[in-house]
Amino acid sequence: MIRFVDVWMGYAPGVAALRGVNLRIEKQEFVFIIGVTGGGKSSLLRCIYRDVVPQRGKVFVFRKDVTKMLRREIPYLRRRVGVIFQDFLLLPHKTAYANVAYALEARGAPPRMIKQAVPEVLDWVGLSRKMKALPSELSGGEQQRMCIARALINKPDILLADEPTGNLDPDTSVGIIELLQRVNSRGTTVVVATHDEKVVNRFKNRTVRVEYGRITADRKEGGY
Amino acid sequence: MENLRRNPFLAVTHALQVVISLTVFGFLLLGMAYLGAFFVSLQGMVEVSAFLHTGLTAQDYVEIEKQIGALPGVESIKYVSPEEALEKFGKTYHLDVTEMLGYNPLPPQYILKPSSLKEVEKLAAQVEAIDGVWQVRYGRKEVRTLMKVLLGFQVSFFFTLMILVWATVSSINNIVRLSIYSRRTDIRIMQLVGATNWFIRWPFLFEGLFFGLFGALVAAGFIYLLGEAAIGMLASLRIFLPQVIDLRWLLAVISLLLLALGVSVGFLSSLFTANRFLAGEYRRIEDMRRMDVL
Repeated sequence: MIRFVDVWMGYAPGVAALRGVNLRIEKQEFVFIIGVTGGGKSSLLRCIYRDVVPQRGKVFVFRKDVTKMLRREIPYLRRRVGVIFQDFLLLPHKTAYANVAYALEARGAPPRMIKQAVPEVLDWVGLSRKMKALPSELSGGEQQRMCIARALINKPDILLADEPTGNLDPDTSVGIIELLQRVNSRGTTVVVATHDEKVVNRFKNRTVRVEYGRITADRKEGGY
Repeated sequence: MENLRRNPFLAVTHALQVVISLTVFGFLLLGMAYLGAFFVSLQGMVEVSAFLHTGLTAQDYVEIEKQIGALPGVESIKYVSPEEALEKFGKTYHLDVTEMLGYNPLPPQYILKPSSLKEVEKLAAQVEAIDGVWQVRYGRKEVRTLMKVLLGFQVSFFFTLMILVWATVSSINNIVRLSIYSRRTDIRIMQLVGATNWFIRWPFLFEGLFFGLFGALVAAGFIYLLGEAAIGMLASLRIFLPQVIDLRWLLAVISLLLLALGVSVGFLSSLFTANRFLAGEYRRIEDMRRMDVL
């Protein structure tokens, strides 16, 4: 499903954020990408949804090398790859319903489909009673659920989560990871970049350690 | 429209900016068009008087008129007899010359209207060379001055118009850019959830079109109302500001021009600014691809 082949990537000349990364993530896997801040976790995720492009190497997503992807193909890749962020990236003036509906509108979905799908997905993430709430009226955990709902509305094959628990308390963090595991159990490949040791140790999933742009460990049943 | 609700201050600023730019543009255009028409009307006032020798036969007159009429650059020709000239002179200067001199000293003449100001000097020389023509007068100095003024006006009209269009376009452009920049987070989210560039672009195009049309309508309304008031004023100031052009027609033309300019600038500014913004993301990726990080 996702394959990195000798990927080198950096944001400034002479400074590599990823150094010769080789990684394979299979369909329906749940993978934690761990490591210190600035180690290259986010860069690795960004390569998958083509927010950045490596200077060397190949990144295959759905068997297609995204580094060679044309500009017009990127939106279609992103409809199949949901992304959630530590800082949620929600539209503050839109309700939970509108924020989630936005993702469907953006791909030109018909209104009838939006009306049906949005309440379903909000219900699924546990926000059925908060549909009319603005992000500012929700807790951090609820905002992250909203983010997950937005990412799931397009029924993605891959869900990427970049430090999804970074702004949350431990109990809420566990709730979010449990939700992501439910997503995974529905058949979606989930990749979570985190430095939250407790979360990683609690869920026994494959764990890939990234340090200074290199993969230094890859354990089947993880732990930090 | 959502932007109007979300950011009313920016929306009002946007609308005002378009209205002010187009109104200023419209008024300056109105003034310049009026001035241009005034100069053109002055050009129409230039006449060449060809005074004839006295004692010519009727056949001579026919011949002279035929020769003058055949010259290129003659728009119209009119014969003025000594009696008519005397009558006109008397009316203009309130003098009876025949009483003073005992005879009519004014010769017969042809009054020509040149088709172009540029041809006047050449035409005068050609007329003067015709047998039977005694003298030609056309106000050489005034014509030369008028030609200089006309040329200066045409050149400055062109440059001022260019500057005005540029100023209007760039001021509308700036406000569109500000509007797009204020929604960069929305754009980023749209890109992340898989919106195509056209989906991202169209609300900005619609907004640009809306503000362009709205601004142009208000500006045209201002110009029309104030122009109508000016027409009333002009009627009383006829001596100082001669009505050289149908101002209602001019107002209608300028209003239509403003509408066309507002809509096209609003739409195109939004299109170019949105494209530039979206291309920025593409450039970032391409720059990155070329970077040497190894």
